Amino acid sequence: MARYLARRLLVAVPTLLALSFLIFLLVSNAPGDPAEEYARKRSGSQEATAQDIQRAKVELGLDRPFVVQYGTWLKGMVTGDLGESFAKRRPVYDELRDRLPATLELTFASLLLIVVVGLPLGVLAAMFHRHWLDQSFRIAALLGASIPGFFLAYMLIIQLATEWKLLPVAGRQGIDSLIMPAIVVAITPAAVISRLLRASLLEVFTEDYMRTARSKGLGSLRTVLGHGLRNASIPVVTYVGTVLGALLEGVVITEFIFAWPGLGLLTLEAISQRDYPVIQAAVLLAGAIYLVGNLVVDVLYGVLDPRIRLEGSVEHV
Amino acid sequence: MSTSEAVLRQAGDTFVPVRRRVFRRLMKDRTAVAGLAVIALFVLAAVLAPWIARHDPVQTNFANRFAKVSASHPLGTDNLGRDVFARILHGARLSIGMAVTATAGITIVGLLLGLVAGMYGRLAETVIMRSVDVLLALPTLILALVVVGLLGQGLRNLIITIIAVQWPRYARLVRGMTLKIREQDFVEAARAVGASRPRIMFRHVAPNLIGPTVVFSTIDMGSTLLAVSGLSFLGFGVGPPTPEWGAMLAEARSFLDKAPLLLAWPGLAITLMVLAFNLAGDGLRDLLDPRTVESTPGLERKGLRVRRRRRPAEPLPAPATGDLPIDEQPLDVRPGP
Repeated sequence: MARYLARRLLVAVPTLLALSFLIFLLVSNAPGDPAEEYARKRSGSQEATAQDIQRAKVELGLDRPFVVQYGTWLKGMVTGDLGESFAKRRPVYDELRDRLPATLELTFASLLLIVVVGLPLGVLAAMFHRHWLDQSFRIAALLGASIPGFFLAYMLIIQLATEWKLLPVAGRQGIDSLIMPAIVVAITPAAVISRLLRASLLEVFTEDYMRTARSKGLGSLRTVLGHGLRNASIPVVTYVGTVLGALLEGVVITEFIFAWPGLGLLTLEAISQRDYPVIQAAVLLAGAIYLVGNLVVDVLYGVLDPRIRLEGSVEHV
Repeated sequence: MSTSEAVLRQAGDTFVPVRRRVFRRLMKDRTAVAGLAVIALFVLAAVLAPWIARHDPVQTNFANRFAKVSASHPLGTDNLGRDVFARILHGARLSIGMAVTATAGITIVGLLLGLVAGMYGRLAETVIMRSVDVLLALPTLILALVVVGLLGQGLRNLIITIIAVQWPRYARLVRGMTLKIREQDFVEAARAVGASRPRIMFRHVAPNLIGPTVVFSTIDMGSTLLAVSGLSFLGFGVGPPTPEWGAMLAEARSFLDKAPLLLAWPGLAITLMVLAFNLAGDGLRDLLDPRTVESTPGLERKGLRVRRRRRPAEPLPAPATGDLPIDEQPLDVRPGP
C-alpha cells in the first residue's frame, strides 16, 4: 500500500508541474495588463501614464522574460513562498490560509448532506423497486441532476431568505448561512450517487449470498444494510472521483452566489482582477486537492473490495 | 458533467456498434421519447422565434417595465420593458446553438487527436495523452473559468474554452477504441494490400469511431448546456443586450425581490432543456450499455436475450427448442418396447 501511494504521488508531481506551466502560459498571454491595473489603483486615477505602468511592471516582476518569471515562481513554490498578491500586496499564502476554512466548511457540510440524503434515497429506491416511492425518487433525482446550481440557489434565496426570512441571503455568519450553499453544492452529487447506488443494489440483490442471508432468517433491512450495501458501494465508489469534480465546480459557483468567502470566490476575484500569483496558486491548489481526492477514492476502492490489488490499478483514471 | 462522464468511462471499455435500429428501439422508451419531444419543441421554437414571438427581444420600453403576465406579454416584461417570452425564445437560439457548436467542436477535436494518438503511437501519442492527463488534472469548469476568464468575455471565446477543456475526455475514449479497432482483421487486410497509414486511419478506422463518439457527445449534451449557461451566468458569455438564458438569469439577480419570476423563466428553460437532454441520453445509454446484450444483433438472432437492466419487465421470448443449451433440452423419456 505504501509503495502504491508513493508511486501515485510521484506520478502526480510532473502532472501538477505541467499544469502550473500551462496556467502560467495562459495567464501571461492573456489580454489585459495587470501592471496597468496596478498602476491605476496606486495613483488613484482612471488613467495611468506609461511611466507609471513601466514602474509597476518592474515592481511586479512582469518586465522579465517569461522563462525567468516562471523559474522564479517555481523556485518560490519549492521553498514554500507563493509570492505576493498583486491586488492586495500581501502574501498569497496568507490569502489562501484565510479563505481555506470557509471552503472546507462548505465542502464538508455538502459531503455530509450527500451521504445523509443520497445514500438512504438510493437504498430506499432499491428496496422499493418499481414501487411509487422508487418512481418519485427517480423523478427527484433526475430533476436534481438537471437543475443548474445557480438557478436552485436563487429559488432557495427567494423562498427561504426573502419570502420566509428564515435564512440569511448571503455571507458567512454561523450555521444558518451554511444551509443554502450546502444544499446547492450537494444536490447534483446526491442525485447521481443515489441513482448509482440504487442500480448497484438491484444488481447485488440477485446474488446468491443475498438469498443465503435472507434464508438464514435475517430481516430484509438487515440483509440490505449488512450484506448488500458494502458490495453495492464498490461500483459506486468508482464514480466518487467524478462526483468530486462536480463538488469542486459546485463550490466555485455557489461561493460566488452566496458571497461565501472561500477559495472559489477568491479565484473568481483573482481572475477578474488579473491577480496572477493568486490565480496560479489557487488553481494549483484545486488541482492538488482533486488529485489527492481521486487517490483517496482509489484507496477506498481497494479497502471496500479486497479482491482488487492497488498495485495493478495504476492505469485507473 | 458527472453522469455522462461516468458513462463515457464505462463505455470506453467496450466498443459498441451503433446501428440504425438503435433509433427504432429508442422510440419504445417512453421517457426518452418525452425528452426528444421537448428537445424538438425547443429547437423548433428557437428556429421559428422571430415568427412566434410578437416582440423584438432587445426592444426596450421604459413605460412598461416589470409588466405582469398578459396576452401581449405571455411571460411579462423585464427591467427594461423587454418582452421576456421573446427573449426566452431568441435565447434558445444562442443557448442551444452554443451547446451544439461546442459539442460538435469537442467531438471533432477529440476524434482527431484520439485517432492520431491511437494510430501513430510514439511521440504523437505521448504528447497527446500527457496533455490529456494534465488537462484532466483539474475539474473542467475550474479550468474553463481560468481559460475564459483570461481570454475575455464573448461568444467565440466561450465556445473555444468549452472545446479546450472538454476534448481530453473524448480523445482518451477515442484512443481506446482506436487501439481495439486497429487490431481487427479488416485493418490488417488493408495494411496487407499496401494502404498507407492515413488511408487506413480515415477510410478504415475513423468510420467505425464516428458513430459511438457522436452518441457519447449526444449523451453529454445536457452537461455541455449546463457548462455553457454556467459560464454565461458568471458573465463570460455574450454581452447585453443579447438574449441568452444564463446571462438573463444573471441580469435578473438584481431584481430578485421585485420580480422573482424574471429569474424563474430562464432558469426553468435551462432546467427543462437539460432534463430533456438527460432523459434522451439515459435512453441512449440504456440501449448501448454493454450489459444490455439485446443491442448486439448477433446474440439476439440466436434467441438469447438478456434482461435489460432498467426495464426488466419485458417478457423473455421463448427460445426455439433447437437453440436451448443442452441441459435445458426437453428430455422425453419413455419406457422401451
